Amino acid sequence: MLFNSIEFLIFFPIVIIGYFLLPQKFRKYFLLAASCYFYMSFIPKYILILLVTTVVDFTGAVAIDYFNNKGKKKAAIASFVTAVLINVGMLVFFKYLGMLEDTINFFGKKLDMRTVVFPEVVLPIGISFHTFQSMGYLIDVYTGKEKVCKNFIDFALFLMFFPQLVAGPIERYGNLMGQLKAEHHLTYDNISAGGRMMLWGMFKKVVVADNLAMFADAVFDNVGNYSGWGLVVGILCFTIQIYCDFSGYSDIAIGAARVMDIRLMKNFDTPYFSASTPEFWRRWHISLSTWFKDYIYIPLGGNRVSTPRWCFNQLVTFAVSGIWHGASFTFVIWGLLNGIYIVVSRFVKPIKDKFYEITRIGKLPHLRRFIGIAITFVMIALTWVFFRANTFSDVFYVFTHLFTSTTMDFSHITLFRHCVAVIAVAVLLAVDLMTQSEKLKEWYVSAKMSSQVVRLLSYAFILFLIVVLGAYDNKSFIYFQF
Amino acid sequence: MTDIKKSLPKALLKGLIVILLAVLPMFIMNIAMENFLDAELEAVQIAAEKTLAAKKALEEAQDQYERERLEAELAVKKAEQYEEFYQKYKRRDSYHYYGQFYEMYENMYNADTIIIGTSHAAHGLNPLYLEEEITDRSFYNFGLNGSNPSYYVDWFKLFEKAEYPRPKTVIFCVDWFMFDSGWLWRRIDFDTNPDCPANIMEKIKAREYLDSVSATVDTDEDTSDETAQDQIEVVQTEQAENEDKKIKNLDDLTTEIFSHVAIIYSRDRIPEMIKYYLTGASFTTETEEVVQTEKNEELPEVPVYEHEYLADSIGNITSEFYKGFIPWEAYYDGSFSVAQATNYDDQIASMYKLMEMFEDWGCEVIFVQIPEYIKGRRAVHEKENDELLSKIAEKYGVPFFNYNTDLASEINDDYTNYSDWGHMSRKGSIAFSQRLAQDLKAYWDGQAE
Repeated sequence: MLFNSIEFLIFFPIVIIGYFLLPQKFRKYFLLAASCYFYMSFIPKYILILLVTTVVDFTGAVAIDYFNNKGKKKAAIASFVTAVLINVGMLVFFKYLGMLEDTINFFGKKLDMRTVVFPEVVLPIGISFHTFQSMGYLIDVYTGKEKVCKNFIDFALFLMFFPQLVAGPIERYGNLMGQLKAEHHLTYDNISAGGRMMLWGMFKKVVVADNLAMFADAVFDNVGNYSGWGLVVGILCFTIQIYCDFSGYSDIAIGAARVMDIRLMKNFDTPYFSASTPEFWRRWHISLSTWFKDYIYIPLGGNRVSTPRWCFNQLVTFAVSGIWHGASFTFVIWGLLNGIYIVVSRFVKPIKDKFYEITRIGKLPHLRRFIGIAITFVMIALTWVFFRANTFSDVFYVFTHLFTSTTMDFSHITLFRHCVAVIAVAVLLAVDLMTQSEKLKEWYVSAKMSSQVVRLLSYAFILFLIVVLGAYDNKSFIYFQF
Repeated sequence: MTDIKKSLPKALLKGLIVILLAVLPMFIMNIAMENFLDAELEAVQIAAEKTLAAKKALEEAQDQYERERLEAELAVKKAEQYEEFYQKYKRRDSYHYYGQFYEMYENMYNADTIIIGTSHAAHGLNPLYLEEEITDRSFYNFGLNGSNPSYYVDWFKLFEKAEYPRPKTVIFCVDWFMFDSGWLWRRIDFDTNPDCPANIMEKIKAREYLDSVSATVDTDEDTSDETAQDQIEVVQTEQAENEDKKIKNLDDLTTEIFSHVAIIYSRDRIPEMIKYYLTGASFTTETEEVVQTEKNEELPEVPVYEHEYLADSIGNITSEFYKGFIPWEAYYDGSFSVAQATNYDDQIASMYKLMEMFEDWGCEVIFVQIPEYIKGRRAVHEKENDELLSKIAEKYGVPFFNYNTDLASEINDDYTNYSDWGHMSRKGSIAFSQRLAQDLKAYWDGQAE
């Protein structure tokens, strides 16, 4: 069930009340059952895939620990490699078979070969997320960073905890398991904070993302009908859409967990206010970027290597990140482009610093930061073209027509939706700007009467916007395709 | 339990306050929207009343000259009513559905040859070019995006209820993927829900009926008050039955609930509603340039309206809608796709049901498969599905014009004829409509001999 569905609106309160009514010793079973039900609401039989992952990784970790304790290093390595290969194999089969088919047919067409059709495989929802979460645990046990979990139910719950099961945040075993085992309390503060996050996440998804999607889809599904500012509008709309879609989901997930007195990791930290690409990747999809940093970039050597090797490490990490995001070469290019940005930013930094010094902009930190934010935003927005475009020829078209005369026609989108887009982005910007001020944040959540009144009115306002302005054609979250 | 007792009541109370604060403006806006929609429909209903009055006058015509004049008056009123309708509903999502349902209920063209099928038909076949070649028939394209055989089974129920004359010929645009209801998604409630095309037309017709009943009651005709009241109740019961849908799941329930909340189902109209209340505007027709037809000193002129370019949310060019056809222009570079269809048994069963119905009606059926850009797609299961269609055609003695196999031509080879591998562009629809017109003419001429 989607978070923005009536089923979840009924499911969630039932789970909360049931969870806190039960004695502590039964809660984990109830939560696990609820999580299974949540996952099965998409495609019921795919719970078997999740079960296989759970069994493989639980058994694998137990085997690794056992062999390590017995001093049988090779057997431990074999267990580790086997478990990882099974995980990766399942990911490749379900997610990348289509890409393989397209690649074969692409070259086959040029060689006049008969087209190949692989069996159609439906992508299990969230496979990339729970596979990575599970592999992270395996790696941590293998490296000795975490102790093995010897209770299958506990481990299953860690993997299948429903708020973050299908689209993250990708949790670490150390952070989540301890919390799942602890006793939880239903407090007014948790309900308030969690509810607030869920409401805001819903606003970002159904009001901002789904409305801007109409403009982005109009452009990217018919690129030939747009040029110049028309393409710019499409790119901007998708840039905001993907942020709100994904961070909205994360907010709902984190908020739902918060109501249950569980703190999931922060996944987005207003990334478009970043003044450089490295900063952007510290604030965007934090759970995934830290996963790649800890399990790919650092094992490759991180930045404690020569400069060419460091460049290589960055590009490989981002290329893999691109592949993780999508089974298409446009995603690989997207990843590589971000890697190139990171590499170039290191070399450009001294030149940038010199420039700011000469122009004295360096003495105006706010202006410097503003310029940095503007440049970073544009650069990141351009990478989203690879992410969203349907084909490489569309990408080529966009970049060759970005600075030509303007062709655009959004007249088929109603005036209402134009107004909603403007209102939605204005509200989003206002709130995200306000959250940059710690003072304002503190005042907003304080117990003062004035802030309580403002809170209630703002919740009512957001709820009103969600119901009246939200787009309800059941658009699923963009990151569900991963 | 202590946790729940301590925290939940406070949280629920605050939640309730938030909901009330949010619902209050919604409630006010809902009342405003209902009044606005009623006022808008009223404008079209007033135009419909004028048409009805013209029809009545014609029925009472005494002589040939009066009859001619009143026929011309009626034609003018029909054109004005249609224009009123177009201006009010042209910006609704996919106007062409509204235009088609308008024809179904108002019968402007009295088409004896109707076209049904999916969006491939709606965007591929232009009656204008059919009528240029075949001058003794009137065509109307009732092709609808996403329609499948089950949809048309329900659609023909509306068709009968609207009392559209049974056609002489049904050109059934059959696609090799037509039995895949995962691909072809349309359901009849998409058109019968409140404020959707069939629902709007039924309200207009109900008002016409009520007006005609009350007019009858007012005259000295032999109709008792009781009979008139029964008739009014029948209309109202039918309206209620239209709204009585099977609710199979929570989605259906929420759709049903929201379909009665005007501020939700007509949200797209909020700017117009605000303008209406701020400016105190009334719903007069906003016609663009009116082009006069041939002048006849004695008879009233039927206005012909020219409409400025307008396209809907998915690129259908609303302003070029003609007798159900609507061009769809989208950028297509001939890129390749793999398309796979799954046959569903209930769709095949519905297909047989439709064929039986056509047989009962005694109307001719012709299968046509709209040409596709063959190089742009790998159609999985096309051969088997075409064989099934051929089998059905053979069973009912129906000719099958398949423009993707034995009748494929240079039209299939030129990607500029297409907006994607399956949908024809404006250019393609002209080429194909002309081609089909010639083939149909040859076929019918052959039948006549």
